[in-house]
This record gives sequence, C-alpha cells and structure tokens, in this order.
Amino acid sequence: MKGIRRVAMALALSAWALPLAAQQQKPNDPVQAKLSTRVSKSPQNAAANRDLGVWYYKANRFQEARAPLEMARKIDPTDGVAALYAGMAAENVKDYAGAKDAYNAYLAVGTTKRVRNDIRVRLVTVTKLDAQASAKTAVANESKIAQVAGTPTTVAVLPFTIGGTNPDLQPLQVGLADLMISDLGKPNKLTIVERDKIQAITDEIALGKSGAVDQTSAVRAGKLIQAGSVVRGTLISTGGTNLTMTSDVVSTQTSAVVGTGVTDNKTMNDLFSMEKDMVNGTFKALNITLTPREQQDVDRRPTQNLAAFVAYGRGLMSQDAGRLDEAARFFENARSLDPGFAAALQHAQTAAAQAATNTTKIEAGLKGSKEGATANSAEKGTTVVGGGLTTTLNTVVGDVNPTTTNSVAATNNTSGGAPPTSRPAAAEATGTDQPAPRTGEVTIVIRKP
Amino acid sequence: MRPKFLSLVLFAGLAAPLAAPLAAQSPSDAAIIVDPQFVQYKLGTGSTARTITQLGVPFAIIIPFSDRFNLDISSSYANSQVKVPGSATSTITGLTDAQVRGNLTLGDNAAVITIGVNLPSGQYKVPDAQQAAAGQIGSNFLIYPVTSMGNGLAATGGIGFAQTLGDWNLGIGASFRYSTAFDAYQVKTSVLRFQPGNEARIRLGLDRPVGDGTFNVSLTYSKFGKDLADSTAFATGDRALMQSALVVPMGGSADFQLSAWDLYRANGQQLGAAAPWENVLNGGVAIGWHLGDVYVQPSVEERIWNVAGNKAGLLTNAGVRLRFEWMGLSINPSAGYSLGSLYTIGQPATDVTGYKAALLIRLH
Repeated sequence: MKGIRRVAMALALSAWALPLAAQQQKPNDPVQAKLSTRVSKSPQNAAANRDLGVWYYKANRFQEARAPLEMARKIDPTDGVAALYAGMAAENVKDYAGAKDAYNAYLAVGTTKRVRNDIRVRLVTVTKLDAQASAKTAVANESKIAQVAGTPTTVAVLPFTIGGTNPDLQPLQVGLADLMISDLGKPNKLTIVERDKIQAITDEIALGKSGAVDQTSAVRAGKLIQAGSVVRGTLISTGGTNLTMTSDVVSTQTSAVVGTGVTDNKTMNDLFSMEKDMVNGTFKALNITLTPREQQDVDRRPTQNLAAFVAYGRGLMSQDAGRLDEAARFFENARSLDPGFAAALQHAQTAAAQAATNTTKIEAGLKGSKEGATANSAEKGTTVVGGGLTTTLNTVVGDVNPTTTNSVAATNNTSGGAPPTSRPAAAEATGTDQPAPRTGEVTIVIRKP
Repeated sequence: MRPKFLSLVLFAGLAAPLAAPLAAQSPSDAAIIVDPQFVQYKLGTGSTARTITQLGVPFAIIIPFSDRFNLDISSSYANSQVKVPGSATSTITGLTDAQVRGNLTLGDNAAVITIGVNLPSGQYKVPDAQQAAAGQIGSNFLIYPVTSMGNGLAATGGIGFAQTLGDWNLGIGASFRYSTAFDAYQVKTSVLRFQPGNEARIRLGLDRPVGDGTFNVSLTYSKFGKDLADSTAFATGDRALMQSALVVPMGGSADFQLSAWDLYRANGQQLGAAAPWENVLNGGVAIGWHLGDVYVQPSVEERIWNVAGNKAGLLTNAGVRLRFEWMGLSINPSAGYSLGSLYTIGQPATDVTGYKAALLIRLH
C-alpha cells in the first residue's frame, strides 16, 4: 500500500519533468562553442556563464547547465534569469534543495510577474519533493542523525491513528494532525515541524501503517526529523457517533511519555472540542503556559462544519499522494460547505495552481518579457554584451530626460565624476556657479514690480 | 510656507521606505538607492584659501509597474558651505527639488516614451547669506553631487528609439522641457523672480560589443529659450555633451575602462555680463578586478576647463571604488583625491585640492 502510494505520488509530482527528461538532448553546435569560448575567456563574466547555462538548459542538458548558472548567480546575485534557470535545472536533476534556493533567489531579484507567481506555487511542490528526498537521506543516515536529538520544544505531530469501523473517519488522520500543528504553532512558543516533513518520514518508514504508533517508532520518527517531542494521537469510533480521542507526547531523548496524556470520550459533534483538549494537554505536557490572549487564539476554530473538515482531510490525503486535481476538488468541496474555512480556500487555490504549474509553464511565462528576451538571446548566442537595446534605450532616457535617479542608479560609474547633464539655471544666470571669479562684477538687480 | 510643507511631505514620503526594515520590502518590485557623498574643494592656499564643502545625499526609488512601464522618484538632501577667511560662512541646507519620471517602453525595446516633472520642493528665495553656497555647487568644472537647490516647477516629455544596425545599436532621442518661473533669490525684502527658458534636447548615440566588452559614444545637444530675470531677458548658451566609454575584460576577473566626456557651452549672456563659451573635457581610465566577492576599481582622470579659448582650469582626480553585495544590498563605497589649478587671465594660478567620499547603497 505504502509502495503504491509513494510511487503514485512520485509519478504525479514528477509528471511534468518526465516529458522534458524524455526529450532528446541537443548536441553541441556552433552557438554552444561560441558561448563556451566566451566563458573560457572570461570565467568571471556573469552574462557569459548565464548564457551558456541557459543554452544547456534549453538543450535539455540540465546537469551541464548547473555549473555555469550557479557561477553566474555567484558573480551577479541580481541576475534573475540565472536564478530562474538554475532553479529549473536543479529541479530537473532532482536537487530539490538547490531548486528551492534558486527559486527563492528569483523571488528576490526576478522581475517577471507571471513567473514570480508560478514560482510561488511551484515552491509548494518543490518543498514537498525536498522533504521526501530529505526523508530518504535521513533514513539512509539514520545512525548518524539519531545521535543528535532535537530540543524538547521542537515538536512533531504524527498523523493520527484511526480505529474502529467507520471508514468516513480515515481522512481525519491527517486532518487532525494538520489542525494540531496549526494550533500548537499559534503562540510561537514551540518549533513545529512542517507536516510535509513529517509525512515524508512517516511514509519512508511506513509508520503507523499496521496500527497504532508504538513509542519506539514514534521516537525513531522524531529523531529522523530532529524533533525533541513527538505527539501521537488516536481516534477510535466506539459505536454510533461516539468517539474516543487520545493523545500523548513522547520525548525522543528519554523515549518516555511526557506527562499523562489526554483521553476524551465524546460524540462526533464534539470532535473540534476534543482536538482542543488534545492541544491543551500537549501544551501542559510540555510545560507551556498560555496567556489569555494566546489561549483565545488557540481556541479559535477554523471551521465548525464536520463535513467540511472531513473533505479538507480528504484533500490533504490526495495532495500527499500527488493527486492534485482531486485534492483541489476536495478542498473546493470543503470551502463550499463552509465558505469561511480559510485553510480550505487557500489549499484549493494552491492545489489547483500546483496541478497546472511545472517548469515548462514557468519558462513559458517569460514570453514577451525582458527576462524572456535575455533567455532567447542566450539560446541563440546573440546576447549583446552590456545589455543590448535595453541598455541603449535606458541611456537615451537618461540623456534626454535626466533626473537624480540616473546619477545614483549608475553603479558602474567609476569613482570619478559624471558629467553635468542639466543646468543650474539661476546660478548660471547670475554667474555664481563659477569657482573662480571672472573679470568683472555680477550685480543682481531687482526691480520693484 | 507651501514649499516648506511640500518639502516635508516629500521628504517623509521618500525617506520612510528607506528607513523601513528590509524584511518589509519587496526588493524585486522596487529599487531603492541612496548615495551619500561628501565633497570638499579648497581653492587657493594660506589665509586666502576658499573652502567649498558639500554633503549631498541623493536618493531614488524605482518602481517597475510592469515589464513596460516604470516610475522613478528622486531627490536629494544637501548641505553646502562656502568658507572664505574673514567673511561669514555661506551655508545652504535642505531638500532639493524632487523629480518624478515615468518611462513606457514600446515594442521589443524599440522605443520609450518618457515624461517627467520637476517638483519645486527645494530651496527658493535664497537670501544673501546663502547665495554663494547655492551658486558654487553649480560649477561644471568642480562637479558636486548636488548641483542645484531648486529649478522651479518644470515638465519634460521625450521619446527615444533604439535600433540595431549590424553590430551597432543606434539610440536616438529628443525631449522638450517646459519651465515655469520661480523665486530664485531674495535680496533684503525684494525677490528675484526667475523664468528659465524652455529647453529642446536631441541625442544621438551608438554602442556596440567589443569582444566581451562594450563601446559607446553619444552626443546630446540642448537649445534653450530666453531666460527672464524679472523683466530682463537674456539667453544662456546652447550646450553639447559628448560622452564615450570603452569597457573590455582583461582576462580572469579584471576589466579595463576608458571613458571621456566633453561639455561645451556656447556664448551666452548672464545678468549684467556676457557669458563666453566654455568647454570642459574629461578623460579617465579605470581598472577593476574581483578580490573574492569584492570588486575593486581604482581610477584616474584628467579634466581641462577652457573659457573663450583660455585655459581656465586643470584637475586630476584619483580614486578607488569598491562594490560588493551584502544582505541583498549592493554596496559601492568610493573615495578620491583631486589636485589642480584654476587660471584667470593676468593673475597667478589658484591651487585646487579636494577629496570626495561616497557610499552608494542600492536595494534591488
């Protein structure tokens, strides 16, 4: 089951990259030779490195694109095109941490609005993929990682274990964990591990697939994600609408349960108050005291609608499995059942956009932009050193309509003086602009009106 | 009252984003640049030496609303002083005019329409005691970071075109500046109302790659209408500014830069006298290289000033500029030293020494 889910997720999340990877790589041509020569002659030329990297990227030679693009970013951290293509190249070779770094750099320096919007969406997917890659690495290096325990205030909330015979409650395993993560993070007194990371680790070690999470497994999961405390929860349907919810906190340092844990026996209608009891019990176990205002904040419920919450949980499960279109429909359903359910609305928008956003779409967003023109010139090897017509036009504007902006924006000026581009009219008219007095005398005569 | 109020509003509006925490900025949507500069020239030696000092803080905000349209707002704060032994120091301090400019790009970088307004937020009705400081900073020879404290309300409209011609890029442009009258000086209780002449400007330039470097040359010509001081009409001379630069990489991380500019002002008139033609020619050379993450660029330049065919000034500037990135900011500190002479017919040369320090900071 776990294998199927992970394969499905990987296939879905990587679906956009596969057509690209399957495309034939373009062999070297005279343009590549020209760009390579430029880099050889001027290894510190940011534009030369960027152009070569973009050429490799467009030739589907993603691994080869990375070194020149990273060099271009290092030399000129303000080059948005280099950051963008570095991110896409990293993503295509599955270096998701590198892709995140470059995409975030693009958000800081890139100028094409459509691409920036797509990058924000894409970062959600890349973050998830990065979490999965990190989980694999963590498991592979478990013996080392397990030596370093997280602090007790770094808390991971594991997916709930759902018991009983009511299959409608299954989506609550991630829904309740998501809600607890949100509530525990509200007072800013704990470091809460992101759900993506927890889900990746639990998937990787198949945690909880065969029933309740035992202490040893919880401690193992906690250590792998560098959490000091792990919250376990169970929800059991005890017949009709009756439910039993329990939770406790396990210390990864001592492998012992901290405090006494919380148990609630209530009905389905009391699900949200039960969750708050679990949250308050967790704060108590971790010796966190809330101010009245913080308590009020924690007690606030994102929705009162159980059906909407179950739909939300289904959306999260679909999202985790990489079925983004399906996830978007569940989130949309949750939002329609409770229009005030802000998290559902946000996830609905993100999931729908995620499903449609990939590196191909991101690159297509450059069309018609200055950054797009730069990338196209790079591919053709026709980049005019110094910026081409853009620079020419900027210079024309600076000359025909000069302002203070021109003098301060020219960071390429030397330490010497730039020429005066406008006249100080009154000083010139009175001759007071002269450093050495000229022969004669200037008298300002003011006639009475 | 009104200009002062306008100054305060503008200063508050422009300075607030500069003071805002970086985390609150959206750096890719706007560039914020501030360039504090300190310049001092000493003219003459000994007890007759005259010292002109300016602390200027030009600042600008660039807002690209889209790929095609951007807006920039700029102004400066300046404190300028002229000290003459035995006389009271002339000082003028405050905000200068603010400029708001919008640029709309048409086609695939084929043309740009530019419209700008000079808002009179600077210093007007300059009293006697401040006139020397307000005027001296306008020198075309000893160039100060802030050259004028106020030029009156004015509007400029222009258009530029760029076209590829083989390996060359041709850039041409034209603009018209419409100026309105302003109260320039106040002598006792009387105010000098000054109406600058309108200005028509054309520009022709070429640039091209040279290996991995670039070469550019341009000529800008300005023709002015009649100035009017109260009821006296006169004309400043037309101006021509030639600029050229060659930047070539030298292998490794080094580059070489050769630059020159020449400013010519034709015969004209000023209040009560003729203004003979003058020419300022400036040539410079700079070499830059990377020391780790820091770009270092020493430079030296020579400036020659000529008035009506007579040598009027000679100045050598030597300096060094650094550039590096820090916390998302581009930092450009620079420092320079100047040495030269001023010449007046029939009089001994006047020694000139000076130094300059600047710290340009740009938030992308």
